Amino acid sequence: MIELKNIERYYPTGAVKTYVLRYINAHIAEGEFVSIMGPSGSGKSTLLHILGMLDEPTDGEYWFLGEGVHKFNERRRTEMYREYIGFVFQAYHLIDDLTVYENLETPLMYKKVPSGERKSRIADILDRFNMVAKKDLFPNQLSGGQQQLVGIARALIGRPKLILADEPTGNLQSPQAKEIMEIFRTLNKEDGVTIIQVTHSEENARYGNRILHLKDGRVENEELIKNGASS
Amino acid sequence: MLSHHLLLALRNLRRRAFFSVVNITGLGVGLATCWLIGLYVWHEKSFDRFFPHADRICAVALDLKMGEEEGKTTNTPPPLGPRLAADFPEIELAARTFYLQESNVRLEKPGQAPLSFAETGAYAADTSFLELFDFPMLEGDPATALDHSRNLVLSENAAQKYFGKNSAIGQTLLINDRPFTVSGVAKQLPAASTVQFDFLVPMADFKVVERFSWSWIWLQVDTWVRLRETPTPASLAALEGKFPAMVRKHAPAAFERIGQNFEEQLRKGDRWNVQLLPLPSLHLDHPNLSSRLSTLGDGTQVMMFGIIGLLILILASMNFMNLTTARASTRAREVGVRKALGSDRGTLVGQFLTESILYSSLGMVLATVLAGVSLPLFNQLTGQELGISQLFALQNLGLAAGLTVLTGLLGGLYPAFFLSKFQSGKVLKTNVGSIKGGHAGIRNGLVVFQFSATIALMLCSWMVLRQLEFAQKSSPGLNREHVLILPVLRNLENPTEVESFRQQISQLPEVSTVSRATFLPSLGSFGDFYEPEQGDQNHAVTSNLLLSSYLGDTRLVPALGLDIIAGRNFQDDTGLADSCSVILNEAAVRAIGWENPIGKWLRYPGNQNQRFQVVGIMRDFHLGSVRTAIEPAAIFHHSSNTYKVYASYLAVRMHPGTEKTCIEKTGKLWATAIPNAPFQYDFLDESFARIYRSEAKMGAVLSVFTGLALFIGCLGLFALAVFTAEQRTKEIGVRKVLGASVASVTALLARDFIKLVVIAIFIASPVAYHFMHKWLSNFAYHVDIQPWMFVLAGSAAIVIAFLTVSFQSIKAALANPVQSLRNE
Repeated sequence: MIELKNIERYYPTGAVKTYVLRYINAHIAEGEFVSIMGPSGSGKSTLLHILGMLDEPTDGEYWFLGEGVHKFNERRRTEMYREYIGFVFQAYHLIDDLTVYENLETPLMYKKVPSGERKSRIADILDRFNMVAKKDLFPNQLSGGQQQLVGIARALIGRPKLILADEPTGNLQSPQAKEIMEIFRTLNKEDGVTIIQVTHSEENARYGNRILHLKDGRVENEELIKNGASS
Repeated sequence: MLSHHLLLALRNLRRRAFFSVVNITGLGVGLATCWLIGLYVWHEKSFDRFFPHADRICAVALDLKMGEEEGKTTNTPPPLGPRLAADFPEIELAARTFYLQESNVRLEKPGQAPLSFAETGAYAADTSFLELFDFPMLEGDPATALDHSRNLVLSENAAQKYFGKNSAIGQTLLINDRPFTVSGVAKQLPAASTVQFDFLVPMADFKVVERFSWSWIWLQVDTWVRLRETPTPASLAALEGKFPAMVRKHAPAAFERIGQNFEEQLRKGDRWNVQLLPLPSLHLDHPNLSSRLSTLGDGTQVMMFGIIGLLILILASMNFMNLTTARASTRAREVGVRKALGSDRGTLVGQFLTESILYSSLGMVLATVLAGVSLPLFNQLTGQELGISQLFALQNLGLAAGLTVLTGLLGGLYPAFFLSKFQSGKVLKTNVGSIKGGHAGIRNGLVVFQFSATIALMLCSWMVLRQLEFAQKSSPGLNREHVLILPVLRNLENPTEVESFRQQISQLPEVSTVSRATFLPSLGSFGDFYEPEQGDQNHAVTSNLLLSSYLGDTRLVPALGLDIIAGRNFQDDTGLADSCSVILNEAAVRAIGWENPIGKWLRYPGNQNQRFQVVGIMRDFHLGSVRTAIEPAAIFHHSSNTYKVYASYLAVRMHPGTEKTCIEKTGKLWATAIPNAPFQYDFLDESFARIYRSEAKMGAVLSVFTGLALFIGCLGLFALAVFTAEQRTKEIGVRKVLGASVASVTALLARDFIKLVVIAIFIASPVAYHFMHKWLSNFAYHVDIQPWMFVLAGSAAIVIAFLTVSFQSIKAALANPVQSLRNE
C-alpha cells in the first residue's frame, strides 16, 4: 500500500541543512498496524505528516496505492483525503463551532455523500461508539477521551483504507487510552483498516504488528510484534 | 453546503460577539452612507432623462469673450431662438423663456381676504415651449395652452396651492396685478428636471422681450431647441459649424446700435459662438456655465461624493478584513482540519465568503435602520426631498443588495484566500497556537490606509470650512451685517411712492439709514461697456471697460458701509448735482489705468455717449462670490437716468440689536404702503451666505464623511487593540513579573498603533495638500494652506488613536499577571 524510497526532509538553516528525516525506506502493506516510536525530535510526526500528505518530503519518492504522491497536486491530495485517509490527532482538532453530529457530518459533506446516507452513517457510528446521547453537544462540553472518540469516529466515517494517528492517546488518562487502543485493534482486525500511529508509549505500540524506531531522522530498527495484528 | 456554511458563520458570530458587533456596526455605517450617496448620485445622473424627447432637446448656450470677460452661458438674446428655428431645417422647434423674477401672485376671493404669495417660479414662455418638452399635462392642450394673450399654465403644485381640489381651468389669477386665465395645468415635474416652473404666461404679454427683439446683447432669455433627429457629436458639431455665418449676418447691426464694431471685436480675439448643449448631459457636464437655471448640478462634486461614499465603504470592509486576518491563528487550525478531512480550497473560500456576506447582510439590516433614521439629515445636506418610500423603491433595493454583496466580497475575498491557503501540515503540529497572527504587514497597511484616508478627509473638510468662513465673513470695504433688504420692485413702481416708503422707514428709531438702489451686492448688478477718457494723463488708458454698476442715492454708501478712500460720496439727493457723477472702485481705476482718477470722465455709448465725472473712489468689495476676482464696479446716481433695470431694493441699515423690532415695524409700514403684496425681506449677510450654498453643502458633507471615516477607523483600531492585547496576554504577564510598570506596558502596546498613525499622517498630508490646493484655486480669494494645519490635524489623529487603543492597553497592563500566566 505504501512505499517510501529514500525520503528526506530538511530545512535550510544558514549554510547547513538541518535534517528532520534521512534515508527513510519503508514498505507498509494493506491491513498492517504500524507504530512509529522514537524520542522527541526524531521526526515521527513529520514522517506521519508526509505519509498523510500534509507535508511534502524534500527528496525521495512516496508511492501510495501504486501512485506517486510526489506528483500529486492539491486537488488529487484532497481526493485522497476524501477517499482513502482518515486522521486522528493528539489534540483531537474537532471543529469547536460544530456539534458532535456536525463534526461527523463534515467529511461526508466534502465527499458529497447524499443527506439520507449521511444520516444513517452517522447514526451507525454514534451507536457503535455509544455516543448517541452526546450528538448535540459541542466539543468543549466533552471530556478529552470523549473528544478523541469523536475524532476517531470522524476519521472512520468516510470509510478510509488508512488511518493515521498522531499520538492519539497523548492527552488522555490511561483507562481512556486503553479504550481507544482497543478500538484501533478492532478496526484493524475486523474491518481490515490499515493503521499507522505515532506514539511514545511502548504499551500502545504493542497493539500493532510492527514498530518503526526512529532516531535522529533515521529508522534505527524495525521490530515485529508476534502477538500483534495479522499482517 | 450553504446551510452548513451559514450555520457555522452564525455560531462564529455569536461566539465572538464583540468582534461581530464591531464588524457589523462598521459595515452598517459604511453601507448606510454608501447607499444614501448612491441614491444621491443616481438622482443627479437621472436628470432630465424622463422627457420623451430628451435626447433631441438642447439648451442654447453662448461661448463669449468680450474684452477681458469670457465664459459660457445659457443666457441668450431674444432674436436667437426664432433665427435658429427659421434658418436651420435640422431644428424642429425653438422656444424661449423669460424669468419674471419674484412675482406677486394673488387670487381674489369675493368677500374674503385674497390669497397672495410671492412666487419665484414664474416665467414668460413662447407658445411652443410646452410642446417642445412635451410636458405631460393634467389639464389643457400643450400645443395651444399658451397661444392666447393672458393665458396661464400652472404646475400641479401651484394649482393645488391656489385652487385646492377644484379645477383651475378658466380661473383667474393676478400676477403682479395683471389678470391671467388658467388654460392648462402641467403634471408635477420630477425633482430631477432642469426646467422647473410654477407659472407660465405667454411671452407676447411681456413687451420688454419684444422691445429687445433687435438686440443680440440683451442676454435675458433662455432658449431651447428640439432637433428633428437625435444628434451625434459629429452632427451637432456640423450644425454648430453653420452658426457663425448666421451670427455675422444678424448681430453686427445690434452691436452698431451700441457703438461697437462686431467684426472688429472678433478680429481682436473676441468670441460670440452659439452652442447647443444636449439636455441629458446638461445637468452635470457644465459646472462653469453661468446660467439662470438654478437646478444645474456639479458633476465633479457628484463624482467626489460618490468616490468618498465608496471610500467609506472600503474603510468599513477593511475593518472586517483586518479582524478576520487577525484571528487567523484561531481559524488556521480549523482550516487545517477541514483540509485533512477532504475539503478543497474552493469550498473553504466559499465558507469564508458566506461568512463575510452574512456580516455584510447584517450590516445592511443595520444600514436600513440608519439610512431611514438619517434620511432627513441627508435630505438637508443634499437639498433633496427623498422619502422613505423612495429609499425602499425597487431599484434602490437592488442597489442595496448589490452593495451588500460587493461589501461581502470586498471584505471577504482577501481573508478567504489568505485563510484557505494554510497548509494542514504546518498548522496541525501538536503544539498549536504558535501560528502568528498572520500577515501583520497587510493589516498594518490597512490601518495606515484607513487613517490616511481619514486624516486627508479631516484636512480637506477643515480647509473647506475655513474657506467657507472666509468667504462668508471676510468682507473688506463693505459692512454686510445689520442690513435689511426689501425688494420693492413691482410692489411700488412709482419712484415717488418708493421714496415716501423709504422716508417712513428711515424715521424708525431702530434705523440709521435707508437707501434705494437698483441692485445690491450679492443680488446682481447691471453690466455694460464704458469708454474712459484720457484726460490730462500722458500714457494711454484702456479704450473700453465692462463696469458692473448700481444706481443709488447719497445714502447707499453709508447704508452698505462702503469705504470712500478718495474724493467724496454723492452730495445731494434733491437736485441734479450728481446726475453726472460716478463713484468707481479701485479695481475699475486699476483696469482703466488712470493715475489721478478724481475729476476724470467716462463715456457711456449705451446711452448716447452720456458723460460721467469721477467724484469718488471706493475701496474694493466683493460684489458676489470670492470665486471670481473683484470686478470693476461703479455707482451712478438715480438722477442720471442712464439706464433702466428691472430691479429695485431698499437697503436698511439698522442699529445693532434692534433687528427684531425693526422688522416688525417695517412689516407694519409695508402692510399699509403695499397692501397687495406679502411682506418680504432679506438680510445682506444671509444673501451673501447663500452664494456659497454649494461650498456650504460640500463643507457639511465632508465633515459628516470625516466623522464617519474617523468613527469606522477608530472602531477598527479599537477592535485590533483588543485583539492584540488578547494575543499578548502572556507576554504582558511575563513583562509584569519581570517588573514592568503599567505605563511602560501601555506604551508598549500603544506604540505600534501610534507608529501606524504617524505613517498615515505623512501619506495623507501631501494628498490632502494636492486636493486642497486644486480646490482653492477655484477661488480668486482664498485662505492659505498653513503648515500648522497639518501639525494640528496630525496631532488630533494621534490623540484620538491613542485614546482609542490606550483604554484597552491600560486594561491589559493592569491585569493580574498570575491569571494570564496560569491560563496559558
